[in-house]
Amino acid sequence: MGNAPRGVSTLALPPVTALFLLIPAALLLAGLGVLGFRWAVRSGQYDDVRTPALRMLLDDEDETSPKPNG
Amino acid sequence: MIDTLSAPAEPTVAPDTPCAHCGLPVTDAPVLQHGHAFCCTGCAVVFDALSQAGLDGSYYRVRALDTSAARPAQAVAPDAHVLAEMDTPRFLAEETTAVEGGDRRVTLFVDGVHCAACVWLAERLPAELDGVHAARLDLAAARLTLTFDPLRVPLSAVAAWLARFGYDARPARQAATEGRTAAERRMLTKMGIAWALAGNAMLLAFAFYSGLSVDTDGGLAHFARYLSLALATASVAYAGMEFFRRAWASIRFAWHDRSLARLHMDVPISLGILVGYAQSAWATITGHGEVWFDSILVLTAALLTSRYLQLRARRLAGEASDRLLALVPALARRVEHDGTEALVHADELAHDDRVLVQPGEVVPVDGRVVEGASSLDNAVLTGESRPEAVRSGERVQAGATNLSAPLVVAVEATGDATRVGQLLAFVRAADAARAPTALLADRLGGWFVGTVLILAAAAFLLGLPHGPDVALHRVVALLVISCPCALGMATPLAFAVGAGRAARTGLFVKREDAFEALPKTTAVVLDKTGTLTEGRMTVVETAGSAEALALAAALERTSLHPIARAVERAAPPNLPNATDVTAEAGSGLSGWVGGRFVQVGRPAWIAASDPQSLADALDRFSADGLTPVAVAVDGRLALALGLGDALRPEAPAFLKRLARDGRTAYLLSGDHPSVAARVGAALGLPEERVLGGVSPEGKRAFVERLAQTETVAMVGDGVNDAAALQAAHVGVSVGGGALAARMAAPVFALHPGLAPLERLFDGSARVMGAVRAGLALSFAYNVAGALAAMAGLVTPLVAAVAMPLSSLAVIGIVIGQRSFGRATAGS
Repeated sequence: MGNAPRGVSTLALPPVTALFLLIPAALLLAGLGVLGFRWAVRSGQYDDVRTPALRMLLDDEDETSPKPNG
Repeated sequence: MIDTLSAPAEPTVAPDTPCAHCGLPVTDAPVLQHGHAFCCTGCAVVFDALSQAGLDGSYYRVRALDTSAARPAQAVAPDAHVLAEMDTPRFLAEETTAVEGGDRRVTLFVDGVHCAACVWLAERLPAELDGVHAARLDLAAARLTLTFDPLRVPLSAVAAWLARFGYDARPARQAATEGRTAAERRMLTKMGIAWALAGNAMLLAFAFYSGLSVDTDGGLAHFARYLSLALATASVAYAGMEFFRRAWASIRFAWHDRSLARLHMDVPISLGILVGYAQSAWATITGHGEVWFDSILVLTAALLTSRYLQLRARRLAGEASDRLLALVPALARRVEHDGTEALVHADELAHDDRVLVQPGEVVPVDGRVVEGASSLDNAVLTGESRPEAVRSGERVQAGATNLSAPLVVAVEATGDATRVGQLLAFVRAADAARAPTALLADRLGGWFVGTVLILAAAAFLLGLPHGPDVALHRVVALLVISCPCALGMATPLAFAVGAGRAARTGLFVKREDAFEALPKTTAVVLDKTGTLTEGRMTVVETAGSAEALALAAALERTSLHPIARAVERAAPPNLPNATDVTAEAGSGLSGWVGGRFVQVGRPAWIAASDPQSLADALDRFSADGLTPVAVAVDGRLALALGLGDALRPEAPAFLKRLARDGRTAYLLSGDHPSVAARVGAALGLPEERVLGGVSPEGKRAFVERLAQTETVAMVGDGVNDAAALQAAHVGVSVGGGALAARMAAPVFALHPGLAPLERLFDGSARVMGAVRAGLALSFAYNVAGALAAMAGLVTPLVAAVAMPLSSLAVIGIVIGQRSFGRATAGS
């Protein structure tokens, strides 16, 4: 979307036809971003924002250790 | 006179030594084990369990990494009935869902999780127990999601494993939380989309602010305007609907009541959004006039953000109340006609069925005792701290704990038909029926609408000399710029931030009007048992030899009776062993300790009156309203104990503080009037404000009557207070009573004692201070904006800069509030 201001700086020149394509393309990209966000929300990625931050503190070292309680 | 008897301290351990498990000072009665000092047996047991399982190294290392750690869990005894219920086919069918491969998935609430080490421990379940395939812990919600194979591992084994480390796992009844999660996700999506639309509209608006104009380069300018119109239409229709719906409801309400005061803050918000949108759409289509798309879109997105944060803060508190555990066990032991017993669901019991209640279990039904004699702890229902003896033919009520001997009870009522069931049903109904109180900012809505309309009329008249176009432009500018964005955000945000901070210190505020009502409170009604007192039997007076105390405790260790617990707590650790212990229900215990014959019990049962000084001491204790307990060694009195419910050490200071703040304190108790009077006198309360022997229904009536003339805060614990907690302006339940009962209150504290209450009063005053500062600032902004609009100074660019700035200033004030400091966390 950084294109819009640049289009402005060329005001004195004939209208930049590329902008008619670039703006909708940028909006399309933004729409894709929104879809991605919607997917992330629906799959529950924002439901718990605290535990994952702590989970990275844990190592997986004990995977092969014996099971004391079977 | 009321002071706990402290056990003789081990000379080698200083009272401020940190506990090897939880790190809190071990005080003057440490538990010594394996060369470590602990603050309590609970910590020692968890430490032991961790080291036996070989998990101690990682647990303590991971915990040290997590600076947010509060107090770790202490050992808990899993409730046998809860464990049994988890393994029934009905539970598997109703509370778990099938996943591929024959596994089931279940969500458990796990009380006691608090830090990274808890996550580590709980998520080790698959490695520790065969048959558990996955475990995920959501720390903030304390929810553990498990995938397991019910044929290979019973759920009760999982719960028992967690209980060894101090986590109390209970089934999470699913339906309620799912609705809330869905609502929150919907709001988050809405907010995200609103911001995406606003961001793009803002970028397009930059083009206009930098000089793009319909007059000089028609094609591109029209194109950009129509694109903005499309974005704005989507945002107003989808995100703005959130406000329109509530605004419409409040307009209908106001119309019905013929009162402008009923108008909600959503009305001026909707007005601003709609007028701005209509004017901009008109300007886009006709090619004349100004567009405000970016301002109204940012405004919508910002307001949605504050709504979302509010929803999220509410969930934290709300989820805790989903843990409203069954106070009455779901399962009962039915005695069949052939004499065998079967575990059945309590709601499957028929009238006159026979139910067996073992010592230590909670009575699952209302009924009559047909066999056996025992004593019951009825504190849940009556608040009476002394155990009550029951015999064949007498009535028992669901929720009471059987203390000494098995009882067979004939069923009279189950479920919601029991007395405790009816009380809880009232609480649930009252909670659901209570209309959300209009918050401070919302109450200003009608006033705000009126003022804005008058100013708009003035702006129109002032603009008329410059022509109708100019006049109309000024009206639109005024309506857009005075759209109360900051005003609308101040209150919900302040409450969301306050509730979030409070939750971190163990205080859960479920209803936001509590913040408003608390600083205004003029009367504070306090329950006695568990609130002002410890809520359990404690040895408060003692006379005689310390050696006899150890001998008595050795006997009492074998009993579940609260008197026995109290004696054991008062005694030093490392007790000798007792043999041949016999119990006589309602009287006492006798047995042999190290070759000496020891009796502990009621003075009349002991029937020894030698030496006279101890017999006199017993009489004195009983005259003071204490429960006298005599200890005889080899047939001769050796120790006299007076047991009572000890006052919390911080109670006198708390009452002094209430008086200093100009709040009147009342003491209500279900306990015997003489006991209530003794506590009232110890606290210096005037007699007319101390009431004993009040039934749960009586407490509710008292609070309702008082609430007609004063702003009442009711502080209590337990089911016996639950109805009164609902009837007060603010109901606060403090630690000590059953967790389930506490969670039914609008505000509840996780930790026992009165300290959370002081934090609550201080914190709410601070929250309200932030709200007022935010409101004042946004009012100043609105007045300035309206004046500028009337003078014709407001253009879309001015609005686009001024509106977010005012909101940011308010957000800054509100987030910077100094409520519920973290210093006191994890008490």
